[in-house]
Amino acid sequence: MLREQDSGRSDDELAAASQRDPGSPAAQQALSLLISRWSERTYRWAYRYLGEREQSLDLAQDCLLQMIQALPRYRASGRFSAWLFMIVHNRCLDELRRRRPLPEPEAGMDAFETAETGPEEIVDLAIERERVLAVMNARLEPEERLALWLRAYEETSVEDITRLLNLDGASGARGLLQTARRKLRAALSEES
Amino acid sequence: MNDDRLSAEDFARLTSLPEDHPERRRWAGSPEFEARLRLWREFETSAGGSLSAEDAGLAARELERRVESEVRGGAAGRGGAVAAPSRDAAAARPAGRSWLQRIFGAPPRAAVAFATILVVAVATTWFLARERTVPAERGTVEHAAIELMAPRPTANGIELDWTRVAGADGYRVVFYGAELTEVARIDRVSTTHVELRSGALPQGLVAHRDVMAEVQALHGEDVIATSKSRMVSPF
Repeated sequence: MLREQDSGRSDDELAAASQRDPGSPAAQQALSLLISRWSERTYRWAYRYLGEREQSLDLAQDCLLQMIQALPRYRASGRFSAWLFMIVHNRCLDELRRRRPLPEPEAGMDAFETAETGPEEIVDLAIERERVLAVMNARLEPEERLALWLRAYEETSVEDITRLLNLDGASGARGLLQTARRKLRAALSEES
Repeated sequence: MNDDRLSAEDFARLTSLPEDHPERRRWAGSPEFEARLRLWREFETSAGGSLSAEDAGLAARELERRVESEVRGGAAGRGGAVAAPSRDAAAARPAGRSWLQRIFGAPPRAAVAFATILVVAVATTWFLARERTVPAERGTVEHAAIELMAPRPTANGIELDWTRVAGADGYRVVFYGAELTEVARIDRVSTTHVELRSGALPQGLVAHRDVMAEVQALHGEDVIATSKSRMVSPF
């Protein structure tokens, strides 16, 4: 079994072996080992987004095929798992956006919007993006920061954030986002 | 914000740096980097999620079979690598001889080789004959092929050339970044070449940053052929 042979060689060594003389048995073997090594984690990640077996399998398959296509350009100057993660994560986010397109082009900033926030303030926040990011980083808890980042900048829906971050409470990511917005608003008004 | 997203290469490199490295420290204040860092760690360790180990394992085996089957079928041939046949698939084959072998005994190797050559020759003859009988108007859409040549240096940059496709009334050149997401495109090209000029690159392309390029042949709004992609390094 592949898994039994999958010891001792790093991801980078396998990636390099698959790049040398593509099509050779050694390259084929290295690629198979990489697929075998990362298929479960890729599937788990896709399942985390979609929560349904067949759709997650399709998405994970797309992710690994993208990885294989990009592999000839992979340079072992970083961590393979981080490189693969970015491919998988971006592909999953693209899939979520494709399934649930956001109607307004400025929807990326609506995570900051509340009932009391007017359009002018939203524009101000957009202009002061760098300041907002700095305050987010300084004042919010990591989980709040992550949820707000996903909502505001990755355009991920509240339901998807709930699933992605495994938020089990009744309000899911909604409560977390409300807390984060409240803290962010307070911190921003303190600074200005 | 998609425009200033961390690329896969950048993120992979940053994560390999020690935390006190100046470049890594610069990114430490970025929610984008921190968010990805945390999610990546969970990705690496398979932390979180409601899947049982058994379900995940079964799905992973299925995924491996699918991917290897796709790769062997050429879907990922652009990468130039082909996966080895799945061990699971091989193991799943019934042990022992086939019913033909059981009835007739194992055929001699020469007979197998002859039969293989015969099948290939018949299939090739049939395929070529079929190609010729397809009407040109319909055949160009179904069988169109387009080849993107290796980039050619020019005085001002590089030129991309491709083969003409019968029935095409225009071409589109699409550029993909490291995560295979589209970063730029040149639409409605009426010739079979474009020049990427230094200092006048299409928006989304960056000098000296490698991208993959592919060409699509268009008939109206329909894509009737897509080339294999090629690495391009804009000047």
